[in-house]
Amino acid sequence: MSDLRSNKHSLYQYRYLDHGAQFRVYEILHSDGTSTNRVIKVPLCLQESKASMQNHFTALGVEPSDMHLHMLGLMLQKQRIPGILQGMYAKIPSLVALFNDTKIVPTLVRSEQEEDYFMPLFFTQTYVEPVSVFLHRFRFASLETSPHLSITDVYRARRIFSMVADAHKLMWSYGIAETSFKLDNFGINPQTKQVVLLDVGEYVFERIKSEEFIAEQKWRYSLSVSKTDYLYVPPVLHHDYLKLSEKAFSQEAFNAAWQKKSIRIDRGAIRALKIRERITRDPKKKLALWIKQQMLHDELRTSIPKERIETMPIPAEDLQLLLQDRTKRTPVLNELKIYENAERKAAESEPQHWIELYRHMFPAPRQEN
Amino acid sequence: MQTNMVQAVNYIPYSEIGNGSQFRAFDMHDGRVLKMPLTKEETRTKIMSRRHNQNPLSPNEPADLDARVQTLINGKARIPEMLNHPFLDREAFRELFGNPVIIEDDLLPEDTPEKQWGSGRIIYTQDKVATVGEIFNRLNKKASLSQDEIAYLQQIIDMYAKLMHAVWEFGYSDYVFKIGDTGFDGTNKLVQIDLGEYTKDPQFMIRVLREKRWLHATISAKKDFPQVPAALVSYYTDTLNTAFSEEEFWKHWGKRHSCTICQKDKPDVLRNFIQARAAEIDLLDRW
Repeated sequence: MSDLRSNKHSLYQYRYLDHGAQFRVYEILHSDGTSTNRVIKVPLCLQESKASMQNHFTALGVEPSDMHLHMLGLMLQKQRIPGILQGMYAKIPSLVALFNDTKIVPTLVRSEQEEDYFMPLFFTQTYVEPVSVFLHRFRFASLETSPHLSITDVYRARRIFSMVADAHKLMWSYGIAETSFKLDNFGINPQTKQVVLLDVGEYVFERIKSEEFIAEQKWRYSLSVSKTDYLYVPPVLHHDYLKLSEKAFSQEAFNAAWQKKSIRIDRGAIRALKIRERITRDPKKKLALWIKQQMLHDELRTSIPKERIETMPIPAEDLQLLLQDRTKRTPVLNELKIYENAERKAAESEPQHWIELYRHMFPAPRQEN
Repeated sequence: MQTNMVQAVNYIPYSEIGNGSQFRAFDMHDGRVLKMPLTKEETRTKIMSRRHNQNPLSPNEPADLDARVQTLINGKARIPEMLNHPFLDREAFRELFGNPVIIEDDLLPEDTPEKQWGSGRIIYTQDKVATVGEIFNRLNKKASLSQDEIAYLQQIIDMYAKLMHAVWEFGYSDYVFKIGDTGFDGTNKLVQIDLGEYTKDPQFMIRVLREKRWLHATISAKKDFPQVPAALVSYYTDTLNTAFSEEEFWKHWGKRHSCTICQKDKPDVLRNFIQARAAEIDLLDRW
């Protein structure tokens, strides 16, 4: 059901789902309330972003000036999203699926405050289930004392960790490195059952930078109770997550995958141009084909194709309404956060003692199908 | 918080594709690029961080940073006069520069102590090109060049010389001679893309030609000049030393300059001199 009163002439309604440090996310519904199976990501302004990260930075003891710089960096990060929706990255089916069919809403918004929106951009994606929803069933769980869990659940959890690792490997094979290694940046497409990337703004194309991120081993933050900006993996799954990630996110695995597929595409395209160059007699055309070969690397990776532009007729007035929406709401998945924080707290001190105590305070999560 | 909604139905985010010391270039995804001017501070930072700041052909002697910044800003300020010069064949002149179009509205905010554009408040669009600088950079990563590649590069050098002559014929000249600032447009024509370093002062150009500034593309310490691949240095030097001689300059200078305001036959030399000098804004080292 929509919880945002939209323009009465609009084809769509919007149901608030959640917000992060960069976007508010709404499900897009038809005017009759049925789902379009798409979500719209509405950019937060600088003040909103700061407010969303305030507690996190305060807990870490970050100085206000450093926080301001960090938030400016986050604002700029949103501007990088179109960069991954260009050239071959926007056309190869496996990448399009991995990036959750992200599309740009082609509407320009101007703010009166200079550093407020940094050229605000709206995006749409397929409506999927965040990984945190699936992992919720493992909160305060142990195989001995949690009757709602079966060995199938454990296999599914391993499968999801494996799919996340495969997603990174797929990106590496095209010369892209996702830099955060956050599990909560991923979702599960209910139709395809594949993992998809929800936050497509945290990436680099350079090998050296990618290797620096690999060396940092940020995937370990999901095992850390103090890294509150990372989804805390339920302790019962720590062993599986660690075992898989150590191998999947190693330098060796990265070396084996890096640019394997993109180089093949480059070579195939250059070969085709070389053949045309050899059979052409006109010296001007020969030069033109040779120049095309020199520029091919960039040409294959730039220009946003029309398939990445959202064609849903979302009215400008709706976008304005969404942008100005400041209603305080509880995120739809708030209960998940409560359990996660409780489990994080429990693990901080004497885990076994507190886990038993919390297990009595928090009822076992209902099994999701 | 107020937001102004401007609906631009076909707006696709312009991606930044490059920046120099005067402009930042954005791909408009329609075969054109948008060039927005850097502020004074951005120009200063760019020169300090990227360039080996040298006086012409000197390997060590640094140029004055403030003078260089102001010269770059003044260079931008001269662009409208050049592009709007009332040539009878204005289209032919603009084609040499990738068909630039100046955005006439003053869309930049007023200068503040933190953010100043000064007189360089010029925004324009231009055809998107495959830059020679990018081609040189890619080829310089190769261990060696094939005979075909050498032949293609020789062709490009010849085309560059012809392009400069064509610009001279309209009575204007680039005074930096950076071959990397040319590129091939969609019709595979070589065009000039850096508009911010032009003059119509022939006496100044004679001084520049004597300094042989094009040889910066053969000096590896000159980091802001895309370097000519080693196999072509000899051909490049010989070809351009001949093509950019004083003799060639006077052979081409102003031959196609027909416009509605410059009348070379008019006997009032003093009036012409005052008008021409007043149009040249800067008095600093024009580098």
